[in-house]
Amino acid sequence: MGATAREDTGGAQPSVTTDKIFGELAALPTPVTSVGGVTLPYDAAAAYTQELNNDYIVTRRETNTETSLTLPTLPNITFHAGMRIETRQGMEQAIGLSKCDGCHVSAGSKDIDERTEDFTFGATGKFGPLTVEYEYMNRTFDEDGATPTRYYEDAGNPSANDQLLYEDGYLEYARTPDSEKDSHFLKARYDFSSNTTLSASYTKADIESDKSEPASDISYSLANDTLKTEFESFGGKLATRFGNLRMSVRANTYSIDADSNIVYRRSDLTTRDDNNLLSFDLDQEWDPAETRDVDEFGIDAVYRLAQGTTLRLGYDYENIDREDAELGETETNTFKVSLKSRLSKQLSARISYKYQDISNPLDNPTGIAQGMGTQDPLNPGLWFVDTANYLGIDNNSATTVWYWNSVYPNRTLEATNLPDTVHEAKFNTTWAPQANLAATLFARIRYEENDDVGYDQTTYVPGISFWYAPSDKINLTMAYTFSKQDTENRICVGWYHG
Amino acid sequence: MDVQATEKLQLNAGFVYNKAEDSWDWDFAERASLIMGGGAYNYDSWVQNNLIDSYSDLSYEQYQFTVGGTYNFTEAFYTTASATYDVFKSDNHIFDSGEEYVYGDEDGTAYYGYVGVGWNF
Repeated sequence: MGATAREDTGGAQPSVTTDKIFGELAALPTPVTSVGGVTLPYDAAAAYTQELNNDYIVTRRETNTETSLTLPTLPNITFHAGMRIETRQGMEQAIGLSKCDGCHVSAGSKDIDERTEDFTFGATGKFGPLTVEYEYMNRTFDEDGATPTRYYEDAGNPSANDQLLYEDGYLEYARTPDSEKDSHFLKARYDFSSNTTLSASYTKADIESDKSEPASDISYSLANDTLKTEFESFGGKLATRFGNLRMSVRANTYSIDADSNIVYRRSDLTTRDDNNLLSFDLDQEWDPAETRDVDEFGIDAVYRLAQGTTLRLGYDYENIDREDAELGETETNTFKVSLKSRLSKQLSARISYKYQDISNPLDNPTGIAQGMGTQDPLNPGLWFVDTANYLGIDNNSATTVWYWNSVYPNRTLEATNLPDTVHEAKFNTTWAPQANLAATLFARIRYEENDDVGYDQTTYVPGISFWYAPSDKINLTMAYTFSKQDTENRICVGWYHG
Repeated sequence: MDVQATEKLQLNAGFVYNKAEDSWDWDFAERASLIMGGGAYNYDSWVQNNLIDSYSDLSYEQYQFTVGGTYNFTEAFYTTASATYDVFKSDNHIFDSGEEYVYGDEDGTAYYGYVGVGWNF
């Protein structure tokens, strides 16, 4: 929000305030009614008291029904239908803020009156070795609660003439859009023999949601009224057996398209019209982060080493190719091995290990840490940039610069909180000395790191559970789980306004 | 715990206890100076920031009691019900003899339940 220690203590903008702060300032012997250029047209102390008194409770109800029907004339086909209705009603807290020059953060109540309706229709047919399944689902989500409003102070910053959303007045905020989803799912499986099966699946889904209407006194209109996302996937799997070795190979590819959700922006940041507004000639496209093509491949082998003992090896590959070039392409290679054994009539155990190598895990290659310019004599890994060197170039005026063409492109370190290496080991063993008594011991250890950003995390989760049935009418279960997670990460603190 | 109380009535009861604790540490390292308009100054120094050596260690406890049951009127027709009482006790706020610098009263209790009817045909 751009607050910096120097500017706040010096009394200049921006100043972060809340309703509580405004209420306390107004109650001073010499009342203060304006902070950072913000003056509130309502009683801030009363609004704060109301916030504390609000009961933020949401009640959820769900009704479910499923039915299956097989007609005597079509004994190979079973028809399914299902319905699920979920409602959420009550009140939640919504938070908004004004900006430039005062950052006034305030919360208010938001009515929740949501209804989700799912209808599914499908059929499963068995024709000898071929099984086919189809399901259609329609989901609608409606939010009928009133959209909350809050007071937005005029943006006082001189560059805010074209910040059309920050007009002086009560505006709607925190609106939840209605949405609708349609999906078709088709799956077929062919049993060549009891050991060899081939299956294939296809899914197509469309989701549409209503965009928020702009407030009535805002002088622009949206290009279209709905956001739309399309999902399509193809998958296949082949499983077979060679003696003591069982193998399966699978491949899946899916794409998520959201062409109607592209954001358009302008590259000309200096030419203003008679109303002092920047041009609406939007010549740059910004692709949504969700648009991507994903390819997955996997192979699994299970080998029976001895009676009651199996060794499993697995390899998975995933490639995520995103339309937004800045978010890049992520590739994941996963290797798995596990050993499962029935050591005796009373004791069984399983141990497994997984290793993942991930390249470009949704990273932002120029996310943090200024670079170029002058190397810092005290810290050779860091550099600083003088914004004065960017005056008068690239849409910057003689006296001011824009962040996005002076500060942001000069960052040199990746900013991501995702790992590029993962190791995970799991163990569990069950001891059942009698038919009515069993104890299970389990543990999971996970280590993940990303050296490019100085991140690492270690997780330990050991636990134990007992099951005991003192009679055929009573079952008792007791369990204890301990969880510990250590994380080390680099934190980058912004040094500038804005 | 599951109990088959009578031929038609099955009862269950459960208790869950959660305790969570968190702690953290920051180490500030020397960093580059900020230059604005030809002069160089930092808003604060890493030596000043490292004078902060104690932090609010968050912790909470949670107790959850559940009772429920299923009654089979006939082999095909049954009803099921469950009720839960949930207590969340935060040790964070100074009012609870917990840590300073943490704002707000996070303690609370909740009751919730469900009733269902089923028909197998």
